[in-house]
Amino acid sequence: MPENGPLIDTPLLEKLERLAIQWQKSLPGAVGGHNTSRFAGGGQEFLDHRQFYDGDDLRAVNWRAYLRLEKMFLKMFQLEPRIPVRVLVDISKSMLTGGLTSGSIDAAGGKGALSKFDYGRKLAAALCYVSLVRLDSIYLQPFAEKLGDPLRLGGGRHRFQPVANYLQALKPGGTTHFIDVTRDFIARYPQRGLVIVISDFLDDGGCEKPLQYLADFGHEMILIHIWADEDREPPWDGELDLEDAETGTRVQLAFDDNARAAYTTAFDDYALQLRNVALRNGGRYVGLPTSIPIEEAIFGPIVRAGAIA
Amino acid sequence: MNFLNLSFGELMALAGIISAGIIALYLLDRTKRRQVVATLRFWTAGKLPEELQHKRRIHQPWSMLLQLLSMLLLLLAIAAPRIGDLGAAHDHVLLLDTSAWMGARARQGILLDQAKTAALVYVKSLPLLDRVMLVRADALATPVTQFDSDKNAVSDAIRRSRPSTSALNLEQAFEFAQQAQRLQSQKAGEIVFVGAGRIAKQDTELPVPPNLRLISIPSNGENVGLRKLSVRRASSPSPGTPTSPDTWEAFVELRNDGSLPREITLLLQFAGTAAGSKTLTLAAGSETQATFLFHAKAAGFLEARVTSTNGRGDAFPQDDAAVIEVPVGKTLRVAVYSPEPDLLKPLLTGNAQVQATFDLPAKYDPQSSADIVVFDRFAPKDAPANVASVWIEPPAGSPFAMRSAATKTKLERWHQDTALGAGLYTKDVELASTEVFNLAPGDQAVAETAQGPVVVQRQGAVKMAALGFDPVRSTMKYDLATPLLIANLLRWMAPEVFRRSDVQAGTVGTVNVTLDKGVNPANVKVLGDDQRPLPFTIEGNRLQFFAGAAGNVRVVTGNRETVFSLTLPDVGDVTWRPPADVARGVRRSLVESSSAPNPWPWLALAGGLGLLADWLLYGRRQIVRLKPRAASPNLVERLRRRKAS
Repeated sequence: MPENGPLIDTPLLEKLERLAIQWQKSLPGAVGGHNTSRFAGGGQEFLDHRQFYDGDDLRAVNWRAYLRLEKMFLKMFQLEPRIPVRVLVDISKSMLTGGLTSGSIDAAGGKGALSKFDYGRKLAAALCYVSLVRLDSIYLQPFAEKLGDPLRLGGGRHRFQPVANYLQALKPGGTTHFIDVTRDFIARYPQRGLVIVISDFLDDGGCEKPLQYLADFGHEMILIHIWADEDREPPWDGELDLEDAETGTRVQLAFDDNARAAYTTAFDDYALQLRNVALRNGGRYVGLPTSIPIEEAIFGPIVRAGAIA
Repeated sequence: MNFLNLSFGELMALAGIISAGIIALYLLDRTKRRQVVATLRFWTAGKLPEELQHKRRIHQPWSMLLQLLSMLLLLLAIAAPRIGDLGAAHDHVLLLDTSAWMGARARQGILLDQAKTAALVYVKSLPLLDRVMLVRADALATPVTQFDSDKNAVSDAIRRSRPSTSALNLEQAFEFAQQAQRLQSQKAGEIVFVGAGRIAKQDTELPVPPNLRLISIPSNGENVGLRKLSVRRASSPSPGTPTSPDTWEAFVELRNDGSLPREITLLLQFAGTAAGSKTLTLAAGSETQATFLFHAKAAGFLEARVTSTNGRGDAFPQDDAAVIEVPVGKTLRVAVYSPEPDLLKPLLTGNAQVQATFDLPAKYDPQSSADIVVFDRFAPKDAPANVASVWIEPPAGSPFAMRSAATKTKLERWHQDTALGAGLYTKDVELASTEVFNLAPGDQAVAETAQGPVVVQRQGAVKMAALGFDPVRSTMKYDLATPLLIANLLRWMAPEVFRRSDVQAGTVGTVNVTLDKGVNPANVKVLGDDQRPLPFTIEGNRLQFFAGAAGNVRVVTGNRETVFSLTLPDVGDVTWRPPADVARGVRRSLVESSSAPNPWPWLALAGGLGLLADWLLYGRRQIVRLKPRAASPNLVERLRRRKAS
């Protein structure tokens, strides 16, 4: 992808206008959002009546009922909170494999596809735009070994340019440590909210436990799992000298069709574990190979998973 | 077994080097691919077998063996193995007669076709290891191949041979063949001459090589042909009569090579129209000449053609016609401006090639198209700068500076070494009045008095001459030196007009030219078609040069230019009769000893097939497998199906 090219072109942005990020949990937050909550509060939609107690706001008293029944009832309204949307983007070195991008580690296998890093940046930009249009609060948070400096935004589509600039300025590097990132995240953001994790989830220490911690602290998760085709089904044959993109560890082995089948099964099992973690905690999971175009991925698997609608 | 192209040591050395290279490449583990991957957890999680730690093992031994075998076969093909004893092979020289006579008609085709067939039979009859050098013999002996055991190459060279236009020089061909066998062959074989053997009469007594084999091609010698055709300006019919520049004299020489008298018609055509014809009878082996006079104002082609009138066929039609180009007759335009124009008329109207106009100075035209302008006691302000000019008693304003005027002075001497003074001599000539000139740089005094030069020539880009006195009005009027002086003037200023030009059609080969007496060899030039000088020799008054191919050659000797149109084929006079002990024909034993074909194409084919098999079995799979596989169905769909099941 060219360094100076737009992350998302204008026709796609116009199509994203009609989408909104979806929650499954009722989360508290400042009034002003578009998601309904089971909590009563200062919204526009009528929710219920309750008995008046001293100290209640007289403006909410149903004076018609008082004239008829001579009892004071208070009108309650449905809360529409502004839930914080936190987008975590993986910028570790493993995101550079398997695609074409400037500075990519291996561009041989991509055959024209984007690297996972560029693919993730585009997805993050699209989701941020959807959130901005719906006046959500956004925290754009890169990570690798630990959380990077966040970009905090809110307020409308005209704030999208800083998001694009921020994403384009990101430099990949580092090793993924989900457990450290999760700890840091929980400590930094005590307010519960929606967490969208865009990553290849390739951490030698494992991702299931840190993601479970995140869910246990009340965050709603949307896991967007990105992989290159060669990550899932390596195209090579014969004797290979493999090097881990993040750690530099090398291993030499023989690879054939049987080994490829075993490899793919192991990868699918891992993806299934991630999906189970997400669904078990009321979240959602989307698996995306980089060979699927961005627009098709958003309006296909992501919409079908209920992450946006 | 023998190797023709490589020695056994060279073959083994090359095989060793190539084998070592191939084995080294295999040991370098060409199949291992270095790859950066996102993670190693699935590679190890899939319990993939790790590579054995034998870094230097050969991974595809069958592929390597196949490649080694293929390369060895290719090397053997290059080495050209032959079964047999190489030491018993002979080196033969095949002299193929490609002289002009080999273009003569035969029963089928021409004589050279029969000679080629005979030569091919001889080459095919030779043992496989024998080597042959093909030499095309005509006026020169030209080797076409080296001593080569590849009979196909020699046969191809034989088939490509064409008859030349020169006569056969058999003695030279034999000398060349013997020298080639002496210097280049390992074991001399035969010298084989294949051809009609038509040679010059004086060359019949030639030394015969002891190992000569003759394959004679019989020919019908009945031939009448042109031997020479020349054209030159006709000389004046009577002394004192001007020669017409349009009249040409054509000279034709013919010869009957046959054994019977022939009656022929000689027809001469200029520019497509008949210029003359004669019926001649030629005795057997005789030569005759014929002369024609014709008029030609413009350049054109003159053709002489011989036709038989008694219906007898001609074996060699190539020499029945000759064509030469008659050059354009040049004229010299002279403009004379004189107060007394009639005085100079007798001097300038005696030559038909000179067209002189005479006018008064008042009618001077600076735009005149004359080649030479004569100013008599007249110096115009705008004298032409690019035209040769003659100044007689030039007044002030002329290009020549007058030192003084002399009266009643004696003409002391003429400088014979100058172009104007060549051949001039006067005795007791007293000039009543004359101008004496100062010599400028580049000026040469032609005639002098005691006071100084009175006739001056100026050599430069434009030639000029000045006469301090008018020879017609002086006591030199009746002297022979006066017309000679004018003739020298015109010849010096326009030599190309007065150069005698002859055109001859002749035969290629050695050409002899008889030079005029007194010709300085330093002034002789022999130029080819492309104006490049040809080598020549001069012995006495005889110039000799050699032209190996048909074309035009110009011989320039002072005032004479001869153009040789060497287009007639040179045909030998007699058929060579070799001694009786010379071997003849193709030996039967040789025909029977022809061997099996050369195996190198089969070896090369086997080597190529081996390499192809290696690529199909091992190389292609590597390339195909390294291509990325097609994307599998979406993982989510697969997970969904797995969940549903």
